[in-house]
Order: sequence, then C-alpha cells, then structure tokens
Amino acid sequence: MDPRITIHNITDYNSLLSIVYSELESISRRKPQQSVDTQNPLLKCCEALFQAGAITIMAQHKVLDPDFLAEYSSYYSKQFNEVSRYCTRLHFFKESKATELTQLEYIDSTPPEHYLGFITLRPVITSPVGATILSSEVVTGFIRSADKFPVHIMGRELSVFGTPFMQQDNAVGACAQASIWMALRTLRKREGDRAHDPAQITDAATRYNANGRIKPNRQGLTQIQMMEAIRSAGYSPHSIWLGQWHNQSLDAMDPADVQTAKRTIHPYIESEIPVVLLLIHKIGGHAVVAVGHTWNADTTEFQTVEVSNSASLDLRLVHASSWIPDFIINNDNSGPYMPFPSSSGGGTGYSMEQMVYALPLLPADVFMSGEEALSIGLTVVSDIYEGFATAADKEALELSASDIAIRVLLVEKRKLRTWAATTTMPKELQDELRTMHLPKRVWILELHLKAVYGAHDKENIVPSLVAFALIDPTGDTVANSILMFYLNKNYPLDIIEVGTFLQFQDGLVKSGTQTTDNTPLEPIRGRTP
Amino acid sequence: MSNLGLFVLEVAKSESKTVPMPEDKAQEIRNNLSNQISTKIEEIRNEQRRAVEESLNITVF
Repeated sequence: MDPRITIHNITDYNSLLSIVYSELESISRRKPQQSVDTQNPLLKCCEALFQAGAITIMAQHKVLDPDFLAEYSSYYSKQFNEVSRYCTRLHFFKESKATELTQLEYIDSTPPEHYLGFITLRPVITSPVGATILSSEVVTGFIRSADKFPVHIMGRELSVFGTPFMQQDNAVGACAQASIWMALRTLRKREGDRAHDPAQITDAATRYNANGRIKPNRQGLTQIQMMEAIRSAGYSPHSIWLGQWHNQSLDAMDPADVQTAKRTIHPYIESEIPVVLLLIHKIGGHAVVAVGHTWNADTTEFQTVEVSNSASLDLRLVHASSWIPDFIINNDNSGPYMPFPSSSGGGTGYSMEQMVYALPLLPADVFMSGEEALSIGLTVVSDIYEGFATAADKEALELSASDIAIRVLLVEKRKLRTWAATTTMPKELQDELRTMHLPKRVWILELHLKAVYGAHDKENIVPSLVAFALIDPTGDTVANSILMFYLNKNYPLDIIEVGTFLQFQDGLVKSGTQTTDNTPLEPIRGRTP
Repeated sequence: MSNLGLFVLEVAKSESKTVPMPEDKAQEIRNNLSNQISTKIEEIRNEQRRAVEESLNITVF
C-alpha cells in the first residue's frame, strides 16, 4: 500500500492529538511545541471532532492544496529555507473503527454519514490549519451559512456539509484575508465559483490602495480594502457601520445597541449569507465571519419591533433574534464554529459589543438591504392592522401583535418554489407560489406564532407561520416591490374566517384570493445537509 | 390609511373565491403605500449616509 494514505485509530483525545501533532511535525519538520500560541485553531478543531465522536483518522499525504499552492507560489517559493509545497489532509470518521482494515477496505466499507470532515495541515508550524471543513454536526446550534462540499478519497466520493475554515497565514494575509476567504469559499458553489485564494484576496484588496508591504502582509487590511476585495470577487459588500460607541471613546458597545445590531445582522445570517464582522478588540482590530447562531427555545427576553400606524395602535412584534443568545463565528485565530456572545463580560474574549462594521456579502443583483425589506414589510403589516381596526377591538389587535414573532430572510426563487411544492399548505396558495412570476430571489417578512416559534430546534420544524410578505430585492421604486401578502386564518385574531393572499403587479393589488387553511404553515428551513 | 386591511376583510367575507381590486382603488393604495414607504426608506438611507460620515477607517490584522 502506498504510504500516501495512512489510517489511525483514536482511543482517547490524547491519542487524537498525538496523531495530529505527529503528522504536523512530519510535514513542517518542526515540533508543534515550537509555536504554542498559534495552535489554538488546530486544538479547537481537534476538540470539536473528538466531541462529535471521531474514532478514525485517515491521513492523506502529499496533497497539492490549491490555496496553499497559491501561498507557496506567492511567498514560500521565494524563501531561502526550503518549505514543502505539499500539505497533509486529515479526514475524520465517527462510528466506523479502522481496526485491522486496510485503507481501501475501510474507505469502501464506511457509511458516508460517518464522515466528519477534514483538516488540511500546512507545512508551516506558525499557521498549520489550511483549508478545512468540519461537518456542521460537530456544533450545537444552527450553521446557516454553509454548503455541501464533495470530498474524494481513493475513488470514493464523500461529502461534508459545513463552512470552510482557515487560519491566517501571516505571510500572505491576516485575519482580514482569512475571513474573506471563508466567506467567499462558502458561497462558491451557490453563487458560481467566484472564490479567490488568500494571495489573490491580498492582491485585490491592495490593488488601488496599499498601506504598507503586501508580502509579507503583516499590516492587515482596512475595511475599504476588504470591501474592494469582496467587490472584486463579484459580491456587493453592504457596509453597516456599528461603531458609534468607538467614536464616543467607550470601551464597548452599549447592551441596548448590541441588541439593535443583532437585529440588523440577523436577516443576513438567516439568509445563509456570511457576514464579515470587523471588531475593535483590546489588542487591536480583528475580523471574523458570522455563519450561524445558537438557540434558546425558552427565551423570556423578547426584543420587540414597533410598528408605526395611523390608527393609534400600540403594535409591537417580537423579533426572531430574541431566541438567539449568540452568533456562531469562524474566527481564524481561535477556530471554526465558535460562540460569539453579546458580551465578553469584561474578559478577553471576542463578543458583539466589539463590533464596528458588519459586511454581509450580498449577491450583486440584490439592491435592497434587509433593513429596507423589513421596513417595507412592516408598512404592509401596519396597513393591514389599520384596516382591521375598523372591525376589531383595539386591545385585541394590540394583543394579537404581541403574539407574533417576525423573521426577515432572503430566499432564492427555486427554494421558495420547492418549499411551496413540498409543504402542506392551501392549494390556492401553493399553486400561486409555484407559478407566479418572481425575481431570482425574494425578501420574505414572515410572521410566526410567538408561542411555538421557540420549538424550531435543529431537529424539528413546527407549523408556526401565519403570514408573510414577499418583496422584490431588485426593486428600486420601493412601493412597486411588494409581490404578495398572505394571511393565514389562524392569525391570532379571530375576525376572519378564511385565509387570504393578495397578488400584486407593479405594486398594484390585482386581486385577493381566499385560502382554505386550517393550521399555520411550516416555514422555509435553512439549507440542510 | 391605504385600506389593504379593509380589502382583506372584504375578500374574507366575499361569496367569491377571488375578488379583483378595481384599478382606481389599487392606484390609491399604491400611492398611499408609496408615500409611507418612501419616507421610511429615506430615513434608513439618511441614517446610513450619516453613519458613513461618522465611520472610522480601521485596520484589522
């Protein structure tokens, strides 16, 4: 058997670490202890994989990893000391023990669902973690910005559903390049192969404005340079400034402002769009990528959104971010799928209170921001309530609003149609959603029953959706952007006997259609493995 | 008020499954919604423009 691939049994965490360190030492020709400070991402990967039940490692040697090869070509090939061109890729498996099987016997007999993903080891002891994808199952909570990536080992095709991760290689880039790489690589398949390697990201970022040497890139990047790198890859970086606290010479963002920022960022994360977050930490500026969120089904701290109206109604809807204690981030200097809490509690960890910019990577044909979509959707909701005020008690209306949770997300047309085709819903509504003229993507403002919204955990989807508005994200004349409004009979207000949807064309209401719905609908679920 | 809510009530109480909206009524609703939405969107965009003016150039590394 070619020693290009070796197989190792894991008996406990120390044995896992020993195998990984042995491979790292072999490829870098350095003792891992030589660079303890930069081992955190590797250790976090190992811990997550062990917790997820990894019991076998398959080590693939002499891997020509395209991202490291670009770094090699750009930097290491020019060094006097020899650095290998090759990486080692470690594949992790749960449940299937290698025991006495050969590499081929093992890979051919292992069920695909036992694959937990891979770590690529660079031959660089100071930044060993190259392109890495761990399965989203290694973490609790929702990984929203992820994709299914094919993996080929000795003629067997496996796949891993997760978010690409990489530690910064200080030679060609800093955390800025690593975070952009992670965001671009996540979107690569979905949006059409527009992903740059770290060296290309540095080149794109510094094309018009360099603030020091490009190689080695030890100065990092400014937010303007980062936006240029994202733009050059074909995306539209929506720059959201959150750093008023820093202008006021405060140490951190006020807790109320953290909640506001969380509500602003939430629609992009729900839309499976990676959000690059720029932080000002005690030790300096840093960039991470928000890729998901944790979940508290039993939250009692509700963040509300006020709906202004001309009927003097006090309407406050609960924002879906209320069920989200932490975002989940890929942080190049600490690891993949790390919790990102609202506050670090005065400690040294990273947290939302340090945010100064959020840069969601919007597709280039999305002209309307999530903030604008929410405002348009709520204007429709406000108008509905104003009409209902002629037929219902004011207090009942206000109470009904407080029973509603709202979520905003951008959804691809094909996904919306698939949802309509595969979800139990009134036939009239189903047919309309499957056949109506739609842009490539739509913003959806969803209205859910607050009482059951928390039951949407990783395993369960519950019928909670009672109304939604579809909004055209390419719309410029904003009033023409509304495409449809649907209201379920089970809306928590007992004044209508049937469900209804309104069809719009060029912003004009064409017609209203009754629907025969008896229960709330199951909402669109995020991208699943 | 642009009466979308009133129209939903009208549809719900109708004997017909589908109720078309008269063109003039639809125009009125669109105009009213347009006025409301445009004001709110302009507030959001103004706030974003102010934020850009206040924003700092930061370096991350």
